Amino acid sequence: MDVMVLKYSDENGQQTIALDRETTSIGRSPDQHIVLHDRGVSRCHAMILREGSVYSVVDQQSTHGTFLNGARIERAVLKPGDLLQLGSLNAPGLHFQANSVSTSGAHSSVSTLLSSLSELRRPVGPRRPAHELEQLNWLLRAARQLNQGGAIDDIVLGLLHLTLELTGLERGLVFLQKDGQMRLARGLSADGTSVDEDSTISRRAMSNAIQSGSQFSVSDTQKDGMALDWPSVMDKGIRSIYCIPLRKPASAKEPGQLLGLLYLDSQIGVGTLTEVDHRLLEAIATEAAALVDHALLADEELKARQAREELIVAADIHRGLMSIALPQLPYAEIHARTIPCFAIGGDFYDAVALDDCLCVAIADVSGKGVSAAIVAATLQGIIHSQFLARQSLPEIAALLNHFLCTRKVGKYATTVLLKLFPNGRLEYINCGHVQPLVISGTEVRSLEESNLIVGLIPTAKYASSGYTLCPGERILLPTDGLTEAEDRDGRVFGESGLIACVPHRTVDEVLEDVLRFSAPSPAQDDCTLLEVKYG
Amino acid sequence: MSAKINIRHMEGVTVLEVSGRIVLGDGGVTSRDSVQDALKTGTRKLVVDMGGVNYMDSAGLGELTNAYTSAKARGCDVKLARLTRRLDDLMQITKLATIFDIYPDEMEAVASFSNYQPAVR
Repeated sequence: MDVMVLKYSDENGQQTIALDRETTSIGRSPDQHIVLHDRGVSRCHAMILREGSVYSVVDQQSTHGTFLNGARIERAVLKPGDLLQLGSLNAPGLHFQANSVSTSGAHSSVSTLLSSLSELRRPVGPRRPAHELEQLNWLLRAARQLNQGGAIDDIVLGLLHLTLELTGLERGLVFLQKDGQMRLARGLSADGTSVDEDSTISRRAMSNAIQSGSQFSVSDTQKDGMALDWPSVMDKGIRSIYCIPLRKPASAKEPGQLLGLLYLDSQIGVGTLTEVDHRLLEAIATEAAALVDHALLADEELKARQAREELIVAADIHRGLMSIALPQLPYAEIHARTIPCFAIGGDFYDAVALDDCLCVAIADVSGKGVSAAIVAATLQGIIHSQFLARQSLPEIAALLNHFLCTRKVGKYATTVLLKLFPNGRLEYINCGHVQPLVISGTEVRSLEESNLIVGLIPTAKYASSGYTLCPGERILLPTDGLTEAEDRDGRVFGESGLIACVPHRTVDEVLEDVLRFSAPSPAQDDCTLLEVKYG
Repeated sequence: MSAKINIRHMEGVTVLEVSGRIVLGDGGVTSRDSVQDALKTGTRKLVVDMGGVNYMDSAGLGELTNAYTSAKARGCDVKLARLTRRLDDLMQITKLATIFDIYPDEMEAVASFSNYQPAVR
């Protein structure tokens, strides 16, 4: 059974995504399977479901809607040839079709080249060119390799074998464009041995061919006046140089991008090849470029999949680090919950029970997603070990500040660190974080003393403050994901909203209030809430 | 929409007028580059007018502070002017208000540099 694909173009060129999962998510958020950056695309915009051979698209309550063949839909079954657009009818199209990365792309190569071959008589030359059946075999083999996600090296080697046999030339090299330079992918001589790039390869012939914009170029070094200035070529007695730029098939949106170059040369003169052979070369150039393009796409898709899998592993480890068994003490009860807005995020908390006090931290690392999560995990480790080492709060804050300022990771953090003693005495240090709230019955007070955020100003100084809790009082530590939550009209929940909702409510209930406030859009930032109840 | 930056010169003071959103990846980088460009001209007096900034995320705040500290390190004095209410709250909470020189309007920020007095009071 064929796996269907979605084809679309973005800033990285033509993309082909196999819909081989049961669900494929599309949206602006980086954790989606297909990430689109267009304006109007919601973070989790739509989902493509696969049930056997039936595919359907389901809008994920996106802000601006999902359009199928021009009509806005909530849910619809997809048929081959359907056009999806996210966010508006002017958005770039996602084309739902049969998998042409592997199957149909290779088939078209086979059929096109075979039809070219049938029209043409065999090239003449000192070496007898290969039989058509062998060429067919090669192409079928290449098609099979592509279907297996064949490596680009196999395609390149196959291309060299075929072109050397077809042309009867002596040496062939394939160069692939990488980081703006032509790098040798593989070289082969007609007798089947590998060849390396050497001084007799004319880089000038290559750049002439690329600049000419034509499908291939042939230089007869003995007739071509310019080539007489290429001493390396003349010394070796090389008479013919064939350069075939491999260009990505041009589309309406973009011109044919240069993928690489096939370079063939020989001591045989150009005159032995006829006009017919040139047409054959032209066909090979086009088809080989398409094969290389497909192989590169398959390669990229593989790398992207590996990266996604790595990320899933990282997210699991991160969740493990963040899932702390909160200590419960005779004089203190702790509850906490975090809702990251991506799979992982920059909010974290930690709590350590020492014999004379309880140490608690909450922090928010700037930014979101993986970059924030890596820094969060590091800071959590530092804070945890410093708590255990009974370091003072101002010294921990100074240490965090020094660490972030010197590591030049471009991240900073807001944090509240506190120590609660059995007699209710509270020592806290607020480094640019949302103010902690003390709740006594229906009365809510903010702890207002604060210091600079950590990680921005190397010379910052930190000092802690004190407070005394009465039995039954609670201290609540939120992150700004709660206070900055916006409703659909852009109003923020705010500290006042938080103060109004916290009395007599649990951590979970407060978070639910915030989520309800910002519904239907999901959290824009990581939301974390931690509560310590004294006595 | 990302940040837009308009550069003016007034009585020996360079004024960067920033508007739009300062967020990770677009506006933040622009504002840093603009401050760097302004520093290359050798200016020692810089006013950043934030009146048109309608949103700034945490990364934007970091960019602004980095731009500020790198300017200071090069001997350039920087003043911020016309913070929106929300930005001002953010500066208070993060205590960055104790680091930046903040003025309610641009003329006061420019005037604070020297004996220069605005022509019309």
